[in-house]
Amino acid sequence: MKEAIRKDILDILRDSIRAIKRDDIVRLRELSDHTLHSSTIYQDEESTAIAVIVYSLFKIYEKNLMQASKEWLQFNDAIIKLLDSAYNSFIRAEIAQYRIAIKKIFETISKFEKSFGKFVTEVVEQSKIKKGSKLVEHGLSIGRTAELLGVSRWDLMSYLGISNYAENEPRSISIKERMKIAERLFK
Amino acid sequence: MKAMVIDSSSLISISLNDLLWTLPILKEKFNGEMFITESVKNEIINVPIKSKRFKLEAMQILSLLGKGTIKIYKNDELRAKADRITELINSIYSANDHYIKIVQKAEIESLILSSMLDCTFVVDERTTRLVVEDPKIMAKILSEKLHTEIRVNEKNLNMFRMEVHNVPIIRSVELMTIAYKLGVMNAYLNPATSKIISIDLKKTLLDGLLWGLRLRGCSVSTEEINGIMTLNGF
Repeated sequence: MKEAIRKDILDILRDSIRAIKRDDIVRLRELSDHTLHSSTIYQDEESTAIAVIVYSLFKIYEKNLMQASKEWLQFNDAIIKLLDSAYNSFIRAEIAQYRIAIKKIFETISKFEKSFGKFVTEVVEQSKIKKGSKLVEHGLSIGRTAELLGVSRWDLMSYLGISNYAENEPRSISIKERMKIAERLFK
Repeated sequence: MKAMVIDSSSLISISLNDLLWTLPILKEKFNGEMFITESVKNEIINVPIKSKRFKLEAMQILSLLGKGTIKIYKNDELRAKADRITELINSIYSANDHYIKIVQKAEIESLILSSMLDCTFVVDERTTRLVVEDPKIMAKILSEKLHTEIRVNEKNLNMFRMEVHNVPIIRSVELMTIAYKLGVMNAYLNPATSKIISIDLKKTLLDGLLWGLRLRGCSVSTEEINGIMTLNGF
């Protein structure tokens, strides 16, 4: 694994634990964007998974409704312990153990959100789409992003429409020229 | 043979705007074939048909396949070539001495088919389009977004350009604008509606059409939408 990726992941795990303990939701959101560059360039499983996890946690921790639930304390403790475990495994280069901790974090989030029934569903799926839209913004194609994150193109396209991702980018050909291509097709 | 190859991104935009009904009419007016590849069929039918959210859309597209409006182009040579070209494109741009895999085989399969048939490629997806039309812009986007230097492997880029060149590309917005221009969208222009609301019906329809496609995933900017709105004849 590249040293840059390793350092990024360790920083994110450490800072996420701190942010959760300090109830710093804004920081949690910022952290979820930190591995996007690694995810775009190296497309490694670890960078992508940690971005999705941290964004999912942000979505959960920002909701007061969830924090008022009876399951909250148990969930919060479990997440901190699992993030600690992931951090310690990663620093010791025990990748298999690290992956188990990451898998357990996904499972814990999923179990917790299920207890809220219809109010909050599929936090992880939504986070994948949100992070996927960022990868598209960074230059990956929709198909490659969908493949990398295991989401459907339909979901990704629906989200991209409202994300303004191509608004200020340079154009390869003018709209006038492109309309001419379309018109020629029907002549 | 007159034909167009449609990528899944454009079919998704068209479908999400409930505009699939325009395709048989457009096909008749265009007097040619509308093709998709086997991989695109998988993405727009096989995958969503198993989901709850987009099952209906998948069924609607399936119906167009059943009627023969859209045909699946099967070709073994195409798959082999798509493998090779996908690998080539994914070895053009690099950052930190690492090639960035920017595209996926299914997207490239449609592009190759358009090249093989010498026909227009309909694709709403930005990356595939830019790699064909202006690969330097793609490098610029990657560099700006990743805040790092992007190297372009000119040899691989040239090899790609030798394999795929001069593929005319349009998006769902241009295709649907043509549908509007040809009067296909007149189905929405009921004169009685002017009694309900006082607006320029035709202009509002075109504006709604373009924004609908954009807001459901077509990569088109506000400037381009405004550009279409001010073109002669609209």
